[in-house]
Amino acid sequence: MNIFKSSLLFLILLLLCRSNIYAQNNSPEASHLFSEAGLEYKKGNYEKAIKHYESILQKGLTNGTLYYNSGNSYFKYGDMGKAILNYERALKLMPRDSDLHSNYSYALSLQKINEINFNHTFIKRVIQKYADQITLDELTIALFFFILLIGTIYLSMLFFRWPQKTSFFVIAGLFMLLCFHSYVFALKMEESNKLAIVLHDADSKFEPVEKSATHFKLKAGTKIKIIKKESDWFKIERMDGKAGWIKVDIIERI
Amino acid sequence: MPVSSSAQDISFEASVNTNKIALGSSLQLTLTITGTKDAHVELPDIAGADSSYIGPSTRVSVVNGKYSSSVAHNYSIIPLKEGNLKIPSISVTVKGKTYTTNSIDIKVVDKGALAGTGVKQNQSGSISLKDKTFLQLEIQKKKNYINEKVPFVIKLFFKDVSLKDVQFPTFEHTSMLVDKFQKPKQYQEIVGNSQYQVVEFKSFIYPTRAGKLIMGPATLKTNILIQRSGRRRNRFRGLDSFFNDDFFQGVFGGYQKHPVSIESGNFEIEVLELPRKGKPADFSGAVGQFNFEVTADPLNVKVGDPITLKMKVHGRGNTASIKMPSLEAGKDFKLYDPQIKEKGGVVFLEQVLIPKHEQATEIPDVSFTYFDVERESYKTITRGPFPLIVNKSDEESKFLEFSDKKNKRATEILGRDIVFIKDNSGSFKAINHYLYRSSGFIFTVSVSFLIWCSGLIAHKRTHKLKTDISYARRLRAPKEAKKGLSQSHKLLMQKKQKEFYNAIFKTIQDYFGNKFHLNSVSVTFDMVKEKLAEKNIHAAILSDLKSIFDECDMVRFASINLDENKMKSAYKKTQEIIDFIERHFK
Repeated sequence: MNIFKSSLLFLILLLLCRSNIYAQNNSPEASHLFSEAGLEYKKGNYEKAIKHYESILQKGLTNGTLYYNSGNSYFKYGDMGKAILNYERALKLMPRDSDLHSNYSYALSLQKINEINFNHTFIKRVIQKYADQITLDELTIALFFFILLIGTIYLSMLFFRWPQKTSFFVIAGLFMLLCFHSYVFALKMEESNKLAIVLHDADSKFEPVEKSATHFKLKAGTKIKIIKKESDWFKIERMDGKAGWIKVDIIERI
Repeated sequence: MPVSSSAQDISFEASVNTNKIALGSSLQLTLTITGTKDAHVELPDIAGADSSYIGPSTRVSVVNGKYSSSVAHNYSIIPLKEGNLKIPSISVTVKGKTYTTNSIDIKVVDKGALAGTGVKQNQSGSISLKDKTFLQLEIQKKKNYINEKVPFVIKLFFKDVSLKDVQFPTFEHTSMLVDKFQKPKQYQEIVGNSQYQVVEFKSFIYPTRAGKLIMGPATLKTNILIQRSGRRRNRFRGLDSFFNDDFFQGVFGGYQKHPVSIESGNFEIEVLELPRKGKPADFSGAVGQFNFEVTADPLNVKVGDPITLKMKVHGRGNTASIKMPSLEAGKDFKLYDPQIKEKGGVVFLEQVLIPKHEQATEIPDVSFTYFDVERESYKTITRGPFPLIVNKSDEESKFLEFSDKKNKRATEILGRDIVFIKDNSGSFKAINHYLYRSSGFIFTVSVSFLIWCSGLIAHKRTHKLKTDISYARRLRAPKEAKKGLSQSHKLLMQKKQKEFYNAIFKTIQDYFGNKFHLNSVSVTFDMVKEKLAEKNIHAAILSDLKSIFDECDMVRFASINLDENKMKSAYKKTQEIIDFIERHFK
């Protein structure tokens, strides 16, 4: 009886907490800035539009549409590095938006960059493609949902005497889904830390020294993986596996 | 014939290898200083000749035990004009004393005179080396038009000299464009009463401005071969001819190069503006004499099929000034950018057009206008129109986009742009706020987990209750005991002795039966004692229990009457025992 009472108490607390999360949902200033930015963009004042979008970001608010519009503004303004960076950020939040995909592909093609995939085996590539279609939050919910289902089916098996064999079958299946999605989750977590976009055309050096020889060139908008950091240099890896050093201000994490 | 001055052992001499020399040859001057190595000898400038230092040579001789050394400085002297050339006296100072050579007179004659061919020389002054060559600039036509292709020629004349490394002439050409020189021609020509060798350079100019234009002067750089006078004596007599060959002489010093720069005079031309009278509207600047040809193929097509239009302009004139005509985009055709190229003085144009519908019955005519320099008038050549048969296309007459490799646009995809911004911002969320990190989500997960756990536990309990009878009974024991006790109490109050003790007995039996999973009806004190003994029970409890059992037996079976107090104490004891057991045994 004690347990039931305490769990009920938790539920009530939970409901109270939920309302907190969406408190920042309706920030009126952010919406205003967004509309202003849109107007500036339509007038062709791309720099002003960019400034407005940046102000919203400085408030600590964002969403996929914001990054998308921001990317468009940088694109029109001419800063392809920043444009692609914003598109990548937008893809993290709305990975299935066709407009976004269209603009992203176009931007990459203008920079003569092929879509980059750091995975080299076929299976990993397929999983990556799937991972690219969903956001991290959606994945979290999916994982929770799978676990919930498993728990419910198990309890139903006990309480309502559901047929054991089929129940276990279903649970096993759900468990596999759970494992798979956990892997995808881990994948997304790893890449969100290490991936960055090159902001300006730069030379990647052999050593973290100014005068070092150039190993290869990086075009603005290229996606690279960060391996490690040493004072104000990053060791980065390109899709083809080549590694080199660049200054920290050349790239920005997605 | 050395001329010397000497004091003690030091002597300074000047000598030449010949006193008579032809124009176009060089002689060797040797300054020899004997008896000292410290002298610094310098040759002053010689009027009317070029001098260059060849090098020193030293000689050491021992004569009658006397050691003497001499240094000879050799110079090459090239006389520049005929007449008397005077090599001045040269001095050198050694240890404070000055030694001077005497001057030397050289007679320079013109090669022609030396050769004795009897050719008369000009009496207007002595002939100089330079007179042997001259440069001439010539334009046939004095009157030209802007942009006209005007031929000109530069001629290099030379006589009695050999030239080496002749370079292309250069000249000032403001307000005109110049073509590259063609391959030069060499021949002989008689000028005055002398025969000259001629090298001819031909090319074209294109005046870019009207008015009086000055061309030239032209400058040509070359080297005159100067023959060294006095053959080198060599010991290999028999091989004289071999070693005296020009090649060897050149290598071993039979000839030397004397660079000269030859200049011509100016040349003035008059450039006219193209006449305004009769200038057609479509004249685009072509000057010359041209032919114009046009072909179109195929002429029987379906709507949307490409037709290639080819134009050709060739002839004499300024091809750079030609602007090819092109068709105007109309409602009948879709035109692509024309491809123009020039090869070997002919200009080609290719353009693709696509008929938009069946009513395009002909390709319109094209005209090319130029200014004919010979006739001094404008001329227009028109070709076409070309009749066309356009059939309906197989599908619905859609307008097809034609992509031909020849007509590739600069951008890869026609007219691509990014998709427009979105107007609806939707709701904002915190940057880097992820669900898995949010407190609300964590709460939900924890609560769900707790609910699930409680559900599981609940089930486990009911399950246990269902399957584990002894457990179920053990749980039931106190409740039923309580019920039994309250019933007993009622009977106590009612003073129903027999019923009371029956109830008490049943209560105890049921209780211990439930508690220790025994058959309630057959519970005896000994059984209970046994069970309790395992648990190390207090002796008092056991004795109390025994007395209750005995009392119950007495009343029930022996029909002994016990008073109320006894009943009360029995009740109380039972209650205490049950409480005690409850507290200490679960």
